[in-house]
Amino acid sequence: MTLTLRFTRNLGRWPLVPLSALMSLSLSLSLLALSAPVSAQPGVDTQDVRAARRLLRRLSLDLWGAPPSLDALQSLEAWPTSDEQLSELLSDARASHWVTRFHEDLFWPALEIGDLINPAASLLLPATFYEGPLGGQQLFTLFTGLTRRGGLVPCLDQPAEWNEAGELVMEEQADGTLREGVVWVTPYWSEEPVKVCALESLAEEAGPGGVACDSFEGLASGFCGCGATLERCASIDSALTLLASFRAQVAQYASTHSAEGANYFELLTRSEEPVNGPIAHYYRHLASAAIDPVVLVAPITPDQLPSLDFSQQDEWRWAERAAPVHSGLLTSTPFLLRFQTARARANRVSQALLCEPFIASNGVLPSPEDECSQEPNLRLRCGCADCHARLEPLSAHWARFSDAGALYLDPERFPSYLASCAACADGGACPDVCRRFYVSEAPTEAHRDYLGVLKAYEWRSPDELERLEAGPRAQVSDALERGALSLCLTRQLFERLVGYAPQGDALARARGYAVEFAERGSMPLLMRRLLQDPSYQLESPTLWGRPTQGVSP
Amino acid sequence: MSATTSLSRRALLAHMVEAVGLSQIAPSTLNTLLCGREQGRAWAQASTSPRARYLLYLHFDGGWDLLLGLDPRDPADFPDADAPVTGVEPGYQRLPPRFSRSPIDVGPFKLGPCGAPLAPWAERLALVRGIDMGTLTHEVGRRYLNTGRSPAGVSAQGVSISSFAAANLTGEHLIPHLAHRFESYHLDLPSEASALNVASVDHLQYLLQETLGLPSYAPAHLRGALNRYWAKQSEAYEARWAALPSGEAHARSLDELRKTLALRARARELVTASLHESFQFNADAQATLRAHYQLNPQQLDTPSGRAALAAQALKTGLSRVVSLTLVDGLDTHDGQWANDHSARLEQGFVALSQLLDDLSQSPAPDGQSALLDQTMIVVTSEFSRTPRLNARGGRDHHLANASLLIGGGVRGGQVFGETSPRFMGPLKVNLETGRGDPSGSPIRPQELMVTALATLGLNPPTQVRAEPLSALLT
Amino acid sequence: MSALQSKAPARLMTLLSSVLISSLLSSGCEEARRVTLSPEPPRAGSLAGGADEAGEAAGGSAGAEAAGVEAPEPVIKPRAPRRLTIAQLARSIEVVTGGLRWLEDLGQGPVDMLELLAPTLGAPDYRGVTHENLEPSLLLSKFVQDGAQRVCEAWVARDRDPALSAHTLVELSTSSEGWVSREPRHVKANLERLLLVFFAYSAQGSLLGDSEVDDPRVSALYELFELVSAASPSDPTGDAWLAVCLALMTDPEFVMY
Repeated sequence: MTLTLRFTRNLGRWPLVPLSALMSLSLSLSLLALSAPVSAQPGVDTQDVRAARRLLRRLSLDLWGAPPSLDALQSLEAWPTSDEQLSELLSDARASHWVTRFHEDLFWPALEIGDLINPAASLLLPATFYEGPLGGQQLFTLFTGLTRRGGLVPCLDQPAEWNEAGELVMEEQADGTLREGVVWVTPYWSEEPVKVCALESLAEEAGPGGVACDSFEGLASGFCGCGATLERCASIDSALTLLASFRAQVAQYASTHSAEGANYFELLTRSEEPVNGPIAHYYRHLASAAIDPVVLVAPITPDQLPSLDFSQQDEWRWAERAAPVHSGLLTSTPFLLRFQTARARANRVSQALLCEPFIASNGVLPSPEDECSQEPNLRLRCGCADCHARLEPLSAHWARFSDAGALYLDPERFPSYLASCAACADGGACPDVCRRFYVSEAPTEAHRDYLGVLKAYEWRSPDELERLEAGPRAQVSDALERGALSLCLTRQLFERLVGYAPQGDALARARGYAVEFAERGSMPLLMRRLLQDPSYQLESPTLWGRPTQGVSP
Repeated sequence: MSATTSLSRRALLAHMVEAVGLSQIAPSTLNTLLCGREQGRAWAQASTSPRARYLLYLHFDGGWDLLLGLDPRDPADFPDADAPVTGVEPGYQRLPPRFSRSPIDVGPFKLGPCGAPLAPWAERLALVRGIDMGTLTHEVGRRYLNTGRSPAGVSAQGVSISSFAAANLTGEHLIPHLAHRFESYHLDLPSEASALNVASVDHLQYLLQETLGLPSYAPAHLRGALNRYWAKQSEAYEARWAALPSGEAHARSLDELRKTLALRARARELVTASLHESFQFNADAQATLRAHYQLNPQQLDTPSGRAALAAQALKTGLSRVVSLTLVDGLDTHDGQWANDHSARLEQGFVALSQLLDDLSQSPAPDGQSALLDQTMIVVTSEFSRTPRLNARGGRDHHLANASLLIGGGVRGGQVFGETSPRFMGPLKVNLETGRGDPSGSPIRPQELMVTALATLGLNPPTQVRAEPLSALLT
Repeated sequence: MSALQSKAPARLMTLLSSVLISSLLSSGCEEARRVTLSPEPPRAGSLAGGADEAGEAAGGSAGAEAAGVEAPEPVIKPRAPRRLTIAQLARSIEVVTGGLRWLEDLGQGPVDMLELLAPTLGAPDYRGVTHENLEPSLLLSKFVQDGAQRVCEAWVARDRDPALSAHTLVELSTSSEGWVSREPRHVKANLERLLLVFFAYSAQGSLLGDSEVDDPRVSALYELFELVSAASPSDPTGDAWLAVCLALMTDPEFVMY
């Protein structure tokens, strides 16, 4: 049976129906056609085993990243894109290939060690790093070397000694540094003991002046040590494991919400975060010292963290995040650290999830001496307004998450106005918190209005303030409501699978899939629609698909 | 005349044909595969006719000291002791004994003590002084010069001059754009503009060999049969495609498939052209090259080694654009400035001199002139160093920069632009004459880029807004 | 899976382990390409990697209907072929050979070359490279040929081992002479099987059926087989299957789908 979408306007026979109704009628019929046997598709001969094998190759490469086996090809008897077959392909563990790749292409999950920890305070380096091939394998941190040993140096490669008073013996060296010996410790990242400088093996609770040892200042003081199992520090290997874990966290979000029965869009709105062993360890022990320049506070409180060992890299649990405005993957640590300003985050969402990129005009920028170029509000500045008129309101959704970090600016700890930060602008040095988070400089008169105000609030209109309080979730629900989110994702998937952006009739079909996707929230269903779409199924005649393949219709 | 092998274009093609064994292919297909004819023109053609057809972009990394090199001051006029007043502290006394204690007069201008190796080339050098970098950040300065556009933060904007040139210059080159430890940006340019970036001077020899030079057991007779199979397959594809309706529907797919087929043959050419021998710098066959560049076979990763790489790439016809970092380690904020910076800067200028010598003695592929006369060479650093020494006996970053333009289409033996005598700030100049003029304009990196492109007969990318410095052009 | 035990200069290992080669390059034999001097802004809805050929059109048949024109039957534009990513290429080699990868021993144990070269060949790291460029590339062609040579040598060596239980290159059920057979029916049956596993291509005609119509792709490969085996001084069958493997792995459709 072939359904032909053929309408003629004949006022005598058809009632006058508004265009929108006609369009939605045609879309519904398109959907009906697709739920009918796939053989209904024009141009696609579903009885052709040869074409079916070629389709299986495409499916296998697209979904699993590998071609089908000889067995699978030889045993193929039916057109491979029935609902049942596709469900099987999509739910197979190998389908993580397309899920991971698609979402990594959207969210660019690549962090560096310096994004997560302070390399000078918390990174245990082997002595060969500093002293060259002649150094031993003892591990040390740079700040401890600087503050306690008097240079960026490790300890001596000999057993550490303590005097009768129980104090660690540090010997003066020819180069003026003071060095202690090594101890063997079994670190959290390994079952084998490692050689570590004795100062790094300390497990103090507090440093000089009572500074807490689970803080940057504590670690940097050199008096705290890395802990009994070196839990407060990271080796290069354990740091790389952390990086891999945060990358895999994105895949976890994606695979959970791309599964049958899951609501896909909760990927972008849910309050929980998937945590494995290394991430749990990081939040528990390492995050608090990640400062300068990155500011980070673990989004999950210790009582909510799963009790997983560092070695449990492949075990994932969902854990509730503390702040009220978390928004799925969009406020996850890897996303916030990869896109480190509110504008960058808003831009990424706009581009990747809404297909609404910011395009600057090609015209000549006005001269910097021009009065218009002095306008401090980017929404109004000529040459900038093109993009910033839209970008600034969107960035408001993220403004409660600090720049250069993944810190939620809790309104209690970070009120919208701090008088002390306004006061320090006019004389005296401003404390760190003011310089970092509050407007404490006024280069122009217009800026003076904002002195003491949280930087996140600078230049914000009332509408933007609402978005600010609502958080990124509001941007997602708005986009979902107007259909932009589902349509953008659908079009991107269409283009990945079919090789070109949908146009004409294909676009109409894609819009239909997007509407259904928005309503049902099912990624497997969307993928089935796309894989059953004739544009995917019909092979290009430029390839040597079949021996007697004719010309395309 | 250098004893290194110089292959004329025709000889190279003939060699390739023989080696590849494509004698059974129809001439038209052969032409298509080997691009026997030079086709096309530079789309971005400027009104001046091009003098240069090749581009070398040589970067001195870290910020070079102009007092030691391109913009010296005479200690007689600027004694070190008067530095607080003059803002200039040449510090020549601190250099190792082999360096001159005063600027070196090379004829049309003077160079600092480290510039001695460039003296023989003074008439070919166009020295641009007083370039206003507007930044003291390494990445920003480097990328500004590289693209002619002020970076967004530290992120480069637009395309690099080398990629742009590679895209718009014509000719038959297996690796049109070669790079060594230098960034390139090729947003929206065709893929042949992308740089092949080699990590080390002697890497290219492996890339140019079959199976990376590792022993392979495929018997020789197999090759001819496989080539024949390839050729027949290409014909069979064309026959299939001829039956398709013409039009846009499959145009892109056909283009990609044809390109894939063509590249398959080209990849064979790459490994059968024996080009790798020209890059085996420690082989006996390259003894003359090594002697010219004074290369230690065990230590090729020196400025001279890199210069040799660039020269070979042009001389063998492998590339039309080479961009590389010639010298590292110039960012001397501490007391090692006196020994290390001077030594490295001198090494860089020695390498440059060896390169100019090599190119001036090598014929261009078309045999019309020396290769140097057809090559545009741009020599830059991301900014300069403070004219005063700091508390540690080193120099920090400084805004005023200088650059050398050398080669085809450049009017050498002159200075364009200047820095203020005291404090060495970049001065506004008359952009026609290059003379200081308070009501003139600063020389910015984009002027430099546009001028270099003009010698190649190219207009710059639209978002680089500047005019070429015509006084520097022939 | 076997790795070729080749001893390469140690510095090759250093070279490849510190590779900074970061771009694809392609050197098409064509006229100077038109340069988009002012980069075209990305069209809303198209990814950086893809490009819609004809731009967006509104509406389709519903739009035509509004104008009162009889809507034509929807014309289906077929899928556009695309190149494999490096990850897909590596898996493809593994699947068709029954487990082999392009490995080299550069002095520190076998190294997976495609993994090593992935950044060079454009695989994204999501920092400097956020999108895998799938354009035809000279460097990829060159490395595919290098890899094909090494993998095919290993495959022939492994497959001809009589102790092997499952032969993936030369299946023996159609031969009475074992692995070294040059019998046409046996060779062609194997070629059909290889075309199926490499390209999911079903050969025209069937040797087991009534007609002996030769598929053109099978014929072309058979001709290659014959040529090489006839000219081989010492190992006709081995050389010939090596040639066939190379032909299949350097086929444009091995890297496209």
